[in-house]
Amino acid sequence: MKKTNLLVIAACTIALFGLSCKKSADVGNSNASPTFGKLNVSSSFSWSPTKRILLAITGMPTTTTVVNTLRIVNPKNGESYYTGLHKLDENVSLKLNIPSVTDSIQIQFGSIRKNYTAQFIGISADYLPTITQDNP
Amino acid sequence: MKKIILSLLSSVLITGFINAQTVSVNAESGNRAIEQGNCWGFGSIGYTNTAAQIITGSWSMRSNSPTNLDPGACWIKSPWMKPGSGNITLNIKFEATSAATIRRVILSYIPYVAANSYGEGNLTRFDSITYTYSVSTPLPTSKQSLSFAIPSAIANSSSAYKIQLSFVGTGGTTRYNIDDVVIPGTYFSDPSNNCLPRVEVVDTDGDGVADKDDAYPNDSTRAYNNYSSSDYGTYLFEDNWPTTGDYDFNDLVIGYRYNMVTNSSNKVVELKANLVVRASGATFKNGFGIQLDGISPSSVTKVTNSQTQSSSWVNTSSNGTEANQTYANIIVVDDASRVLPSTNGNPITNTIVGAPYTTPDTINLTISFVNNTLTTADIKLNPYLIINQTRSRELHLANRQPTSLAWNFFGTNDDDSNPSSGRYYVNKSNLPWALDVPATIPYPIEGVNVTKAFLFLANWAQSNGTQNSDWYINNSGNWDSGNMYSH
Repeated sequence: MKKTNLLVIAACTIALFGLSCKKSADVGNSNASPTFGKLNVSSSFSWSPTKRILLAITGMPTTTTVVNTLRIVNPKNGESYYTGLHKLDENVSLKLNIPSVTDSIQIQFGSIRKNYTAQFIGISADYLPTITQDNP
Repeated sequence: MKKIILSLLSSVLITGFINAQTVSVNAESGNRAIEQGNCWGFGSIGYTNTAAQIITGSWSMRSNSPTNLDPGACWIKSPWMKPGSGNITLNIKFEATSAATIRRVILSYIPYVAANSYGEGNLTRFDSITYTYSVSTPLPTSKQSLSFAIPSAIANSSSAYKIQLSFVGTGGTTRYNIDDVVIPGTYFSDPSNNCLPRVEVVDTDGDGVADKDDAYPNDSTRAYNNYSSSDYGTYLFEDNWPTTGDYDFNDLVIGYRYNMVTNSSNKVVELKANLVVRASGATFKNGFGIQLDGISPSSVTKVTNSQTQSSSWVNTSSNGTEANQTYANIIVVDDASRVLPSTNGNPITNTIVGAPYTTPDTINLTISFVNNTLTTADIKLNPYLIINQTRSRELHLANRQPTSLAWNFFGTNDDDSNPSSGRYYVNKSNLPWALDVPATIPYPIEGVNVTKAFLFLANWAQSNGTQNSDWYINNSGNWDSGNMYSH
């Protein structure tokens, strides 16, 4: 009987510690991400880190031929997406791959600078300045 | 010998007709921003297409109500120009016969002074016309054609000037309508250089790209660099495809940076690829290739610095592309473990912490193209792993098309590809065996699941990309560095 009691006590002790350990393990993993193999991802999800945008720039009529370097850049970090030689009055159509995290682009033509949102696939742009009441 | 290219001096007016040796504005564009973009200045002047305010055509210019006689109150300012000789002409009328005391049109010129704001020197008045209202001399509401001689001080000058026409007055609210301003002279502004006077362009190689913008100022066949990114990107592969692996995504880790070198016609001359085999956490002898989707192999003239060492399973054409392919394929390396050799007999390199580290070399690959055929948008890079020297067993990024030489494995084991629908290299849960990250990132330690290293990768994928799109960036909480390889 004494032996039986000892065994019961031992069993209870083991069970108690076991439950405690399991509880700690539960707390440690409660916020863990699923492993990669357990993910269930939409078939429409693109694993690509880039997105393709279609940028259409309308040329500005000019009094004389103006040729300069056109750059398309990220205005926040200066990363360049396109560089080419173009005329100011030329319509330009570009397909660009930009990082998916990029939310805006800047058109640079010489000293001309214009920003556009990159939230959508199609971007319509131009070189026209913003009209103010008085401009120099 | 330096070649100097002068800017072209053709004078095509915005409204579409050509007038030699004059600078003019008539508002027919209907959009003041166009003239402003061509370096005209407007102060308290707008465009109008109200019938009663039009002088000629469909549009005219209209002043605000004059409040004083200062030339700076209301004006039209020409671009920088080289004045000719003869008369400055314009048409005006007033919107009412009365409601005015004085109305005055003032002509002035402004010399170019480089050190000044906008380059403008002092305003120098040279002519004017005054209308003084009375019952017997009402303001004219019909077209008045005005003419002012260009002063001898600036006529036929080789220096740059602006001409300012001011529309001022006191008393009442009657406004001006203005049209058909014509100034003898030559347009001399650069809208792409802050509307300053044109400067001579230094173009040493004569390709049309100014030296200051030309990445190759002494090479007329090259002009611009177009980098894939400012930083290296990272390809990460699991080489058990079509069977599921341990998802540590370090069986092959390659750093990449591409540069499409273009010429002044914006055509790609060559593609330069800097590729770094950073890790080979695999026992397989894996190769790495790049397909240029949609590009015929004959568009390539030469490939330099591929690292295939005459492997028997790599068949290369004379131009360096792989033979028997529909599209241009370049086998960059036939055996990654040879370019990143282990030093302790263990085939796995740079994924086990504490094991000897092998410093990677950079493979500087160059692919040259037939002249003036391809734009940067035509170049679609499709990188892939060739698993354990089995040419038909390729592993691409999710849903990227295989090459002509890939077959036999689609839809087997865990692969859920459906070639007829363009679905490739994903399993039933739409999980890939390869990742492309637009940054230099660490990779998981051998055997560690990638989501234990990049803690929000799972959330990004399961949110369909709407959350944690910066999962790969070392922002607070994104990484578990303890699960990432370091040496």
